Amino acid sequence: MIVGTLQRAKLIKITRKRRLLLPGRVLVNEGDPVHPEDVIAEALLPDKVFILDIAKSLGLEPDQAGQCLVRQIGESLQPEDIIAQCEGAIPRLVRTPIAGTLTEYHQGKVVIATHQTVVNIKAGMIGTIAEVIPELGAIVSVTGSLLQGFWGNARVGSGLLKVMEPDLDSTLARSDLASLEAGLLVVAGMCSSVDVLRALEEKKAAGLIVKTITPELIPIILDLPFPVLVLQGFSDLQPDPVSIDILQARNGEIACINACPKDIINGQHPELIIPQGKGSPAEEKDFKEKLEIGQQVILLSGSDIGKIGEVSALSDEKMQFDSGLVFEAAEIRLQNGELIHVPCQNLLIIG
Amino acid sequence: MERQFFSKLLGLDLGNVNTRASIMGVRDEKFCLLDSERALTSLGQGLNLGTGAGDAMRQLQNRSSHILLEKSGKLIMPSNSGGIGVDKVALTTSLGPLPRIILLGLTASGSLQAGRNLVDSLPVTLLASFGMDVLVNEPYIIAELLHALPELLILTGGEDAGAEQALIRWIDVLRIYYSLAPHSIKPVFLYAGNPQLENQVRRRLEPVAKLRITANLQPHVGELDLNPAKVILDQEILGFLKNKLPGMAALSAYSKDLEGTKAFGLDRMVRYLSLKSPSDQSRSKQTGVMAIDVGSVNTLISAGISGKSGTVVKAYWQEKVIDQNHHLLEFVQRWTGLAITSQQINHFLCHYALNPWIVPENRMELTIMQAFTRFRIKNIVSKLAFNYPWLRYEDHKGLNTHFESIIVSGSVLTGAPNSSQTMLMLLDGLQLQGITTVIVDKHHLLPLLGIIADAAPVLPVHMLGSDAFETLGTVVTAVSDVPIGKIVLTVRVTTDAGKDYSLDIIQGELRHLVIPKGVSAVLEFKPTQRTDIGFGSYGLGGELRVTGSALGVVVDARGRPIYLPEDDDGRIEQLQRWQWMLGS
Repeated sequence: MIVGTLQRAKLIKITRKRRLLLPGRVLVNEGDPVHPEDVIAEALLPDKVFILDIAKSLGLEPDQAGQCLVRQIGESLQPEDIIAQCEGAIPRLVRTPIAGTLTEYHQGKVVIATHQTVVNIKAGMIGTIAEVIPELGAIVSVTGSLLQGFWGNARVGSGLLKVMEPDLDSTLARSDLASLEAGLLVVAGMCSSVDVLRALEEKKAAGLIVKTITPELIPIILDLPFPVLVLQGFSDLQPDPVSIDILQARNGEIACINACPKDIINGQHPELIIPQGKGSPAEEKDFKEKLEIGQQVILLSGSDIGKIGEVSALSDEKMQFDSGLVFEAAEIRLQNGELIHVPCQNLLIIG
Repeated sequence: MERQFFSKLLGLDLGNVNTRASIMGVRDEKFCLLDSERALTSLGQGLNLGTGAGDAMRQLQNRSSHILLEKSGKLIMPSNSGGIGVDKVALTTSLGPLPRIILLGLTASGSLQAGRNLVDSLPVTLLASFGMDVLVNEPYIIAELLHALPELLILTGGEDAGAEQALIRWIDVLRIYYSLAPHSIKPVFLYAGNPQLENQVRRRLEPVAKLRITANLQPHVGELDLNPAKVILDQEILGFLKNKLPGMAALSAYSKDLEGTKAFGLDRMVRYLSLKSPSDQSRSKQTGVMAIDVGSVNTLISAGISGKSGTVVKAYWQEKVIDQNHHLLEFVQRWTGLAITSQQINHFLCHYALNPWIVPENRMELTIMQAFTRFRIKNIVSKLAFNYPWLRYEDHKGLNTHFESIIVSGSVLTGAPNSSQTMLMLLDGLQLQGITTVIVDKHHLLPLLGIIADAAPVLPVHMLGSDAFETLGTVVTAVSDVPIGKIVLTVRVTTDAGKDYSLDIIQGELRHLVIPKGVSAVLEFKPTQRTDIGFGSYGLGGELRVTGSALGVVVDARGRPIYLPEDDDGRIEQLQRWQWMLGS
């Protein structure tokens, strides 16, 4: 059975594609170092128009005004440029009051595009440009620690990691933040209070990485100016030792959060990247992989929800669970040695 | 569509979690389901949808005697003289991502509502809708369209030969918009308005946009004609998915013209069944069909009466959970028949929202998922009634349009540990009135039949009469204003097995009359003067012939709305009692 993956690795080669929706200009070159807020590529999208009724100004019927146009579609215009004029007993002319590009003429009216919006794509991570995608963006790559999470508030940011308590098993309090410096990525066990979030905002934290949050905080977190990454979920779950090891080992180092929503199609998870590290890097996993014996998994259901274990057996026979339902099951050895059975569908491969 | 002849057909249903492969073929001179299997859908970065479809086919092949695949994994098509392979493939899908749509029209209650009915019936994301009031500020609406980056624009309005000037203004604005929009983000344009302007639309917009023209959504005041537009919009959605999802185009190459979204197939099948449904004059004047599918990501409902139909699909319920919708959380808590805190419910639902493929492992998870299913059913029938006023539904009274049958699908309904749980999810979510038969579409075939119907009309007819569709039970609802504990109805049961009995139904209770499979029975209903059981008016009774099924006959006299005690202990006891009454 293929199941989802969640990557939590001490050292891994990470590559992410950043691509515009429409062709534009790529602002980086291969080999350039980038930070999360750096713009990789940008494009111009026309977004304001000015419509001028030249037929009315010339005193003509709409279908007669076209022959009086003295500019071509696509021409750039400056204020006071003449757009149309007609000869006769009383010669008349029409000037544009505004700069722009003559875009369209129809039934006596001209359309001038006057303003363009810049749409851009940001790096969203610390890394190096591995490859430029002409007109559209680039592939950013970095080798480092990677912690993917369950939920994020769709913001990006970077800063120095500040692990508030090593085991991620207590709830962050406002008093813990009294001496917090600005620009840090705060790492904590649980966040359950609006007060703490406001304190982080006041202290100008660069981001928050928590094991779990109280779901009632979600609407507030969505409005925060900094990224929030939730590693485990929403209930009071046990800390994940893989994440703890990585966060403890890399405390004080520069890191970046891309708290993007999970996107199955593009393979995005909200994630924390801590560049560099020691050892030989692992390869990234696909978004889903075949479940196999020996893999580390996180449990998504049952009384052991959130716990990490190892697949110790996979059965060909389906198994009935307490719900009364029958599923393909995996035998999981939890970290305390206990053996339990879990529906395969309710497992995520981690590593 | 050209009629086609084949002896073996493979149906593929690509869901967000499961891919189902079903073989339909001829046995005893009738089409029937030969076998069905499912595997997890291989949706996601680096994956190809063909992998999941191949897994489902391989499992089906391994379990049965049907050989479908070559050793290389390629599908054998057409079948050979030895019966190996299949002759045709039909495909339905409910996969995301959904194309982003902007709807343009004239008035909120007229053309824009007609447009809403269209876009609500298919899996799309409606970004915004604009009426003609915005045309007073053309630069504003052009900027809005440019910023929104839609993938499809729909313009509707004007009855046939109506509202020409307003539509011409829209066409002019759209010409400007399309002239400005960069080529790579130009949306497909679908015109579904006054047909007298079609030439103008072509002349002005064909040079700048990919143009599709279909019949007017509202040819006359109060008259909707959505079906031609649904065909075009469904094709566009499939084209969009083929571009976005690796493997979709390859699977589509097998199915060719036998493909569509699940919503489209279900809508078409329900409309067909509502025409074919035999009218039983002894019951209600109205007969029709409703189908409900509760999937892992989408909720889908379709209802049809005498060829008049409506469909609504709601995608991504997850957002409502993550946004902490209080109404949702309160409802789920109220309908959870275990002592579970609101915090536990909230935690589980958030977790489920982020991982919608998970299955309930224990009783707590199961009861929360089933309570949440009631919420999804209630919500979607309410939306259907809003879009189609001919459907009589009120939140506090329930569904008061009588359907001869209701067909249910979706793993949470078809895969419940027992039939009574399926029945209760449906009864509590819809709060039905009248008499109806509940049928379970265990293999999620109904949308596929809707896709196949044009090419092989006899196949759906045979399939619907086969055991692929299982009758769960007949529901009789007694609505009365008598106090709790008073008799509302007397039922006399005469079975062909010779077991006759009668019983009184009390206000507030749910009763289960066992009619075993293979047994027929005649039920004679005698309601009290203040009780309506769906035979036309209060106090009016009648006879009903039923055949045995998993649950036989369920008589629901719980009142409308269904009363639940306010205190937790009483509420949980009541919910558990109802489950027990139905035999679980």
